[in-house]
Amino acid sequence: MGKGFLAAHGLLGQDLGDLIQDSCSRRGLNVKLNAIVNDSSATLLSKAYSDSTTRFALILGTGVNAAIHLPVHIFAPPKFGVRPSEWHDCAKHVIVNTELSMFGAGILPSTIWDDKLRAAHPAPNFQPLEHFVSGGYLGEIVRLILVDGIQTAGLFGGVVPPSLRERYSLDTETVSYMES
Amino acid sequence: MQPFIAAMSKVRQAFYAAIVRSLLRTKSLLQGILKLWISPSIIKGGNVDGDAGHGGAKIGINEFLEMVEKAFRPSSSRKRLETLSDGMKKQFLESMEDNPLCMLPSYNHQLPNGDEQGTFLALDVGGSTFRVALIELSGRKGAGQECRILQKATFKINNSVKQLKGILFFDWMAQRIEETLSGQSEGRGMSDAPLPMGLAWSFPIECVFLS
Repeated sequence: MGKGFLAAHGLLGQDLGDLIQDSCSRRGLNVKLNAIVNDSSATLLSKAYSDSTTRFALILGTGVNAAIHLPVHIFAPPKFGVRPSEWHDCAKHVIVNTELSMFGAGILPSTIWDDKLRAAHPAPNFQPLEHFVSGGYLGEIVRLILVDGIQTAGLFGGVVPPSLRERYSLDTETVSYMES
Repeated sequence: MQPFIAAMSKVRQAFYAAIVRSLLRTKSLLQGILKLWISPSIIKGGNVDGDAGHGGAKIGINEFLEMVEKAFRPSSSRKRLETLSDGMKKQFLESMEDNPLCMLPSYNHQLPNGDEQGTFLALDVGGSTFRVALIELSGRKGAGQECRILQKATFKINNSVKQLKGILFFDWMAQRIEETLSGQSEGRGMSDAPLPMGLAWSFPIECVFLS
């Protein structure tokens, strides 16, 4: 499941919808789970509901992603895997989860601090764009620049505060409060 | 191909804007932090000699700030951005040919037509937050009033919640839903039709059908 969650523990292969539905039923809630979508698709759908011209949605949060409503014919057929022919009969466009975070390898301009962040990352090449722009990493980039400034230019009197020593100790949320 | 190109150019614009904004923010933020932390006497001194008063400092603070600015500035020049955009476009197109991880067509092929109406429960599980909202949709014709939030709540997914194993996590979700609906009649009376729920899930899952 990722992002530090253990919910998938012992449940691999089970249907997410059933799991949630069962938990709700056990609490006596009269609810029915009708749809599960990726968060970027959800953003696209909710804006498209109020504005019929909406075609894409961008997520800029802890992670970064985008969903786009694209014509089916621009994809190579194997991208659709095995689907019933009825789906292909009625689908002219399709909502696409771009997984935008994974793009940009070898293209995006990298500073020495970005390089440092990746050097210490367990999967440095998995989500290139995410490492540059997402809330999960902006705080760490600022922290790396600050530590560099302290050590090379004597910022903060040349002493790295203990709170800045640990990796990812500066939350993007904190940085955002300073900025506003 | 026309709508695709139009969609791509929209994506590109948003992408530029997001990147440039984030880079510029980093720079001005650093200036802000520097202003907060550097004593006024140092600012007055102009180019600070790193060796004076700062043991081990190799360059001056202004010099450092200039270096940070320079490191981020070229990224927003038009030529750099165009090269960046061409490179990204190439990667997008390649991923539409064969990439099992990116550019994933869902089973959803239709956008809402704006006539959908009723009371629904919206759930959103992200990396750090669980959001629950009871909403009422009244159709696009309601201009500005198409969606009304009847009740909403946000719950932090802290480490202890992340550590919940297996169904314990889903039981936690159900408890939060129950909390949010307390005081509402929806989702309670077993004789009524069940309250329809939709879930936005920000983790990779394999979708095998569309119901």
